[in-house]
Amino acid sequence: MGSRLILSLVCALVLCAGHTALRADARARLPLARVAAGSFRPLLAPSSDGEPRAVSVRSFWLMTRPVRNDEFLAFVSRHPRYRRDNIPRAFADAQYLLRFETPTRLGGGARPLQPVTLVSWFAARAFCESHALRLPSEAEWEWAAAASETLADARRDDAFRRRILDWYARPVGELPDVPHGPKNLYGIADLHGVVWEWVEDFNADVMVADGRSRADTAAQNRFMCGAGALRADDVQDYPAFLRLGFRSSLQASYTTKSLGFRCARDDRASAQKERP
Amino acid sequence: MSWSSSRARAWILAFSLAAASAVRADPPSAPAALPSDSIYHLSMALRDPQGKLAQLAAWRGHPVLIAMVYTSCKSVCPLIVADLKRIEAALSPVARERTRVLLVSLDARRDDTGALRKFVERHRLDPRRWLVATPAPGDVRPLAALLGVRYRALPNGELLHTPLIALLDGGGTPRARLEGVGTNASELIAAIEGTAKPSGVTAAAAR
Amino acid sequence: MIDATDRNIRTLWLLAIVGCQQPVQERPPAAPSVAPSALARDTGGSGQGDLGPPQGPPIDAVLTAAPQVPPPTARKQPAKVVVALEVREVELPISEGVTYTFWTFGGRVPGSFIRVRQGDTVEFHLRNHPDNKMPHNIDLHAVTGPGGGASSSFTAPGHQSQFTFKALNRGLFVYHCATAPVGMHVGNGMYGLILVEPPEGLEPVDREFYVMQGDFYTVGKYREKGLQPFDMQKAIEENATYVLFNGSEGALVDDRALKAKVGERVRIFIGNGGPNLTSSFHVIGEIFDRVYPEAGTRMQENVQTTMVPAGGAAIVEFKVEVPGTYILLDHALFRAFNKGALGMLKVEGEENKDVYSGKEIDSSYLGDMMMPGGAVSVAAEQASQGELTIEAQIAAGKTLFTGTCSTCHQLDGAGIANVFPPLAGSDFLNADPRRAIGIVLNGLIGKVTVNGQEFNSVMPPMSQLNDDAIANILTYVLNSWGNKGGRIAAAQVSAVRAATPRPAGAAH
Repeated sequence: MGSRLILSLVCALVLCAGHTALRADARARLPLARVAAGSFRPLLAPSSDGEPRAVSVRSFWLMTRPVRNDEFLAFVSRHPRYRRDNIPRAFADAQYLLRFETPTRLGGGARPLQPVTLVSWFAARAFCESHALRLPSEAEWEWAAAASETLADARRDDAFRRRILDWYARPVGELPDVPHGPKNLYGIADLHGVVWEWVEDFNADVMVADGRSRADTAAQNRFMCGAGALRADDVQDYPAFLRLGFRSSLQASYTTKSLGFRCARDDRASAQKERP
Repeated sequence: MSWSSSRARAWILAFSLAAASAVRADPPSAPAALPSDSIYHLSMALRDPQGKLAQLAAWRGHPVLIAMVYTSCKSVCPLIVADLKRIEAALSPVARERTRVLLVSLDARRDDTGALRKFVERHRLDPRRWLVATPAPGDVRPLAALLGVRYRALPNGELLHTPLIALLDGGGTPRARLEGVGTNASELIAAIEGTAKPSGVTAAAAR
Repeated sequence: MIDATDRNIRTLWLLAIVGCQQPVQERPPAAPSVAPSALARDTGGSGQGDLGPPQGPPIDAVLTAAPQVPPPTARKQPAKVVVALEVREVELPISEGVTYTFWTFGGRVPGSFIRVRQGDTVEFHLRNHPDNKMPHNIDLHAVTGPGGGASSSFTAPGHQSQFTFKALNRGLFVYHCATAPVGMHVGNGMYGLILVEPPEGLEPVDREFYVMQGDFYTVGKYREKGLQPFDMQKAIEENATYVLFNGSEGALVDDRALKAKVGERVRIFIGNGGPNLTSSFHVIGEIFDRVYPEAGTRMQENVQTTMVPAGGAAIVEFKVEVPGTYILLDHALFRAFNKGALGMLKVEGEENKDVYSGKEIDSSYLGDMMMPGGAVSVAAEQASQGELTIEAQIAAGKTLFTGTCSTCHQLDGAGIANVFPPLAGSDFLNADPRRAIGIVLNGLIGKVTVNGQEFNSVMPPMSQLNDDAIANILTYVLNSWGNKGGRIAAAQVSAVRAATPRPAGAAH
């Protein structure tokens, strides 16, 4: 009786350990780095009196590279609802995960270490949630992306700006394995030059589609409550302008070949912040 | 062991809660009949002006005009309501009888039941066919994203948002959209008439 | 668009003769044209453009790539026309050895030519190819409606949009992408032309061509090799690196030149996508018999050079009477000769000595500014294989020398006494051939003694010539007219180019 008890205990332990190992494997740790708090004027700055105001960002943690194909494949294996053959069309368009050879296998067209693309906003959010993370807000992402290797806010640096603009000038081509480019001040790589990235509040970008009607506030007010309350701050920040335009063209179910994402989380040291 | 014992019930409850939280990352499984592009795949609970819980899919089976507003909005949201009333008045009696209007709040924090009740009174909304409700804060953006409403919270508490009225058919699939306020709604009205016909209500049952 | 004055006067005479009992009609019958007594009045603009609902089955528009133009619609009724344009971001050559990532309607610059009839209902599909990075839309200047269609067509990569408009105004209109920043999208080549024919159609001609000018801004200098990115700062300063017809240097040159025969009437739909520069459009050796300035309805005659504004177009018509090669250019000359705004129209047929007796200047005259064929291509081909022979260098160098240097130093290298030094048997040259590299690149100002004669002139820098061209020219010169021989390699030129500063204003 005693030995059977011990045996069953041992079996239970082994099973538990095995189960934990599986869980640990499935929930492989994603690499995150801390981004210090900051205050900056984003491209579309809130303004109540005509003057663009700065936006504060609390410190937070952000992945040091975009989410990879192998990680996303592991996610859809654990959550079959998000497989390409299962996901409702309301949550992802017909090109979702089309680079994968099958709904459950990467195949030659999608290397494990390449950033995952052809993912919708809903799928990206679900992935982050499954890792007890979230998508970064636009302000958080832009604040982290303003940093060069040495400066927290390098947006006015011509060389920095030119490097980013050069990426927009090149066709999509083959995606590199990530991490790929240099790490910025926070140790975060590839915010520029690899893929566009989803943010939590991508649909906060209300750029009027016609690029010429910026001055037409009457028209904008008809299409938007309080349109005049946003001021474009530094229109020389063309990379930010291009990102704004890109996000404005997206719907939550859209996927594109050059659009991926990375996850974030609050910094437990700073107070909890509720997102609208 | 007797399943009616309180201890057993406690276990069952604990197990159910655990199971529920474990699948939090998945959207709750929808009934098999939901069309692939139905917005009702987003299952979310809304609090109505009486404080009771309602589902997003409360009026599944009906044509639904859905819009996102907030009660302290001064300019555009009252115009959205006016547009909806105008559209309702232009419908045939059959279509009007079948159609429902769902107004979901963008301002989950401030649009409590009191605010909702005041809004209903101010605009004299018929509770048999109009529902104004507030989602959980975390559900606002997914619903807006699904509908194609763009919005942003400003530091002074105002919300910047695009006015949009969408028509959902009985299965929850968006059939038509009206953007802006005061826009010509004749196409939307025609779409509602089409959806309100008996065959239109059960359209697109299969994927 | 067609001035119907002549036709109406003729109609009046006919009626007067044929029907004396009938009252002479003040207005001409049926045709939607201008009454002779109403030259000051207009053709009704968009108010006259709604010719009723579309008739017949929908038609798929015939779209052509420049310089081709779709055939006339030859329709008598308004129709529904379906136009599908696909946006592609694609790397293409912009000049010899230089590539650029163009954003295009239809895979090339300019975008496809669209031809419809006034009153047509156009169902427009804009497709943004899934391999593209950027969102795009379209503004057609022919559209009456907000943004010209721009707000209805904003499209993410891998998606498509659709909108419908009625072409109310006749004319030739630019279309372009209007996604912010608009100048960048247009600067990358996102423009084309849409022709809305008048209901009676355009008068028939023998040839129709589609030419569109655009200015381009690259980080590298003119003809600096490799994939060049867009330079936003230069675009803001309107400091163009290239000014080109149909999206690349040499698009309309040599075997890609426009072609016509003696006696034919030629019509050119000339557009200007900009983003910045207005064109002074001229054809060397021809006068425009008819110009529709700004592609409007009124006609002007006997025009030498016509302005085509950025975001605008014009229609020119002329009859070619004499064979030869006619150069199309932007008469803002430094754009033509230093930035690439050149094209050719080759006309074949019988000579007409009464009209023009001189020998035509053929393409080698401009050999250095364009991508020449023949000897220069052979040399380039050999060089790319690593097998460049001195004979090929000399042959290529001769073509290039004839096109550039001979203007001053003369075809036989003799120069002009007291003005331009000789290169033939030149002691100055033969003493130090490598010194000549720096002179060609950076020019030479001041006193120099050649073969005992003093010269004090200004030689401008020729740094717009690339390394291969300079090496070939110098090799030719060294091996001609009794010079001592030898050869110069492109690498040597490259080294001098890198080691010496260029004078202000010189190309790289």
